[in-house]
Parts: sequence; structure tokens; C-alpha cells
Amino acid sequence: MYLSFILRQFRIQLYRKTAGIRKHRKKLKIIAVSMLLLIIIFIAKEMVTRNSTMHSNQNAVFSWPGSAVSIAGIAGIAAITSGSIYVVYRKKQNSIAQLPVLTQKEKEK
Amino acid sequence: MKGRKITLFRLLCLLFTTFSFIFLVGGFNIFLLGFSLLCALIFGRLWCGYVCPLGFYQEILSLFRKKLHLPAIRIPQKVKPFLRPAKYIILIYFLLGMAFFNFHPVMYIRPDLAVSDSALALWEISVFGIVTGVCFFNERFFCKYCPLGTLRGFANKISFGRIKKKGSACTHCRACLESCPMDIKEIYEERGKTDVTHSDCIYCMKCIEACPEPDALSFSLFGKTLLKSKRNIK
Repeated sequence: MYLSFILRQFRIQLYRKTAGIRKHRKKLKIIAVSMLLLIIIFIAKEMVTRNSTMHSNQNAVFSWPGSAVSIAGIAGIAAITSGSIYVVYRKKQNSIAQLPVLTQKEKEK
Repeated sequence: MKGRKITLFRLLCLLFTTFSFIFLVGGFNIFLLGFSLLCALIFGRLWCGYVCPLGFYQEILSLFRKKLHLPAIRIPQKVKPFLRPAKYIILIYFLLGMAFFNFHPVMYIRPDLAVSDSALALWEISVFGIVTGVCFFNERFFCKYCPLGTLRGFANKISFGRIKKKGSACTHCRACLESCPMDIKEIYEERGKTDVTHSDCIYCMKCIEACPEPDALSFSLFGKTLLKSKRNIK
């Protein structure tokens, strides 16, 4: 009973939040399909060229698990760096002197 | 993106060139790099703003940040003088590497290949990661220290693309400075000179788009004015 209530609330919220997007459904579909096609073509092309260039002197060595590890490593370090930058930034922002908040008595004066 | 036609055009140019490079260029290409430097003699750092795939990668990162409603973090003015020599140190390292150590910077043409290389050393992964992390919060961070950008920057002073400022029309509202991804102060500070083209300028035209004063800022190519700032009434 309670779960169905939560699910219903969630569905209503989702429906409300996506109202703006649903207006342009047709355009979005076209963009999504074209992007998907581009990505598929790109991946297919990459698979072909990587196999052909693996033994040539043109590029470095590629293997899918190795590449995935490299990308994951880069993404992880990027996340740590950006996260720490953001934390430092927030701390600095909080340390900036705030304007004095008037008390009720001062407001009345 | 309303009222930001040049930015949209620029992003489309970057998308097109990035995909063109992915499909047409197999890896490192010295001729393409040479061509980009030759182009700089005519157009200055226009390549950085409209062609460079690495620039596109950074633009995507900052677009992603904007979508998340996170603030842009600028390099403090106090730190900048210390970081400025780094640009030239990286350039020297880059040129020496190219000349003597068989250094092939595939990053500038195919960043996707450079990043997904399975033979990346730990230090390379760390450098790519840190640069990506900083670029997420600081728009075009790498471009500020890019060795190829520095080389093209030398040509910016003699190139045919010029950013001009009409001092009498400027109200010093800082809109140009706030919108500049390269943090160029001179466009805002300059009062007397009309030519405000800086060696770091990538001709993104964000300053002209942001400027609320008619004709205060303009871009000219081969002496012909192509773009002027105008009042945006919303």
C-alpha cells in the first residue's frame, strides 16, 4: 500500500519534471537516433582501425580491457581532482566574512 | 544558447572537425600539425577556438559543469604570474621532445586515441586525469598552457584576425572579462588602444557576445569588420 503510494508519487513527479522535455519529443528523438548512429559508426570504425594499426608503428598498443583501465583511471583521477578543487573552493567561500545578521531587537530599532 | 549564435556555431565547428579527424586521420600527423601552425600565421589562434579537438573536449567538460549548475573556478590573480613561465617551459619540453626524443603528441589531433591507449604509464594517466579534473572547473585550462597554443599565440600579433575596442563606448561593466574563457584582462583594462588582440585570444567571440554596449567591441578579418557587439534586449 505504502509502496504503491510512493511509486505513484514518483511517477507524478517524473511526469511533472519531464513536461518541458516532452514538448520537443520529436526533435529529441531525431537527435538521439543520429547521435546513437554516430556512436555506433565510431565504435565500429575504431574496432577496425585498431586491429589494423595494432602492428604498425603509427599508434600505440590497444586492447579493450587495457583501454578501459586507462579511461577508468583518468576518470577516477579527474573526479578526485575536481572534487578536491570544489571542496577547497567551498571552504574558501564559507570563510569569507558574512554580513552581520540583524537580531529581532536591532530590526525593531 | 539564446543570443549566443557564435558560440553555437563554434561548437558545431568543433564537433564537425573532431568527427572529421576521427574518421579521416589515423593518428599522429605531422603535416596536420604543420598546417595548423601555418594557418596561425593568417588566422592566429582561430584553430584553437574552432578546430582543435582537445578544445572541444574541454568545452564539453565546461558545458557539463554548467548543466550541473556548478560554478566556474578561476585561477587566482596572485598565482597567475607564477604559472605564466610554465607555459614556456612546457613549450620547450614539447619542442625538444619532438626534435630529439621521437615524441608524437597524438593528443592534439586524436585525444580519444591518446586517452584510450592501453599502454599508458601511471604518470600519463595521472596527468590526463588531473588536467581533466581542473578543466572541469576552469574553462579551457589546458589551452592556457598548451605548447601549440603558445606557438600560435606568437602569430596572434601578426595575424589578420583582430579584436578591436572602442574605448569611448565601453562602460567597464566587466562582462567581457567575466565571459572570457582565457581570462584575458587586457580587453577589459585597455582604455586608449583600439587593437586589443592578445596572444592568448582564441577568437571565441564570447566577449563580443557578452558586451552590452553597441560597437564597443568588434572582430575584423583582413580589415573587414565581421562582428560587432550590440545591445541585447531580452
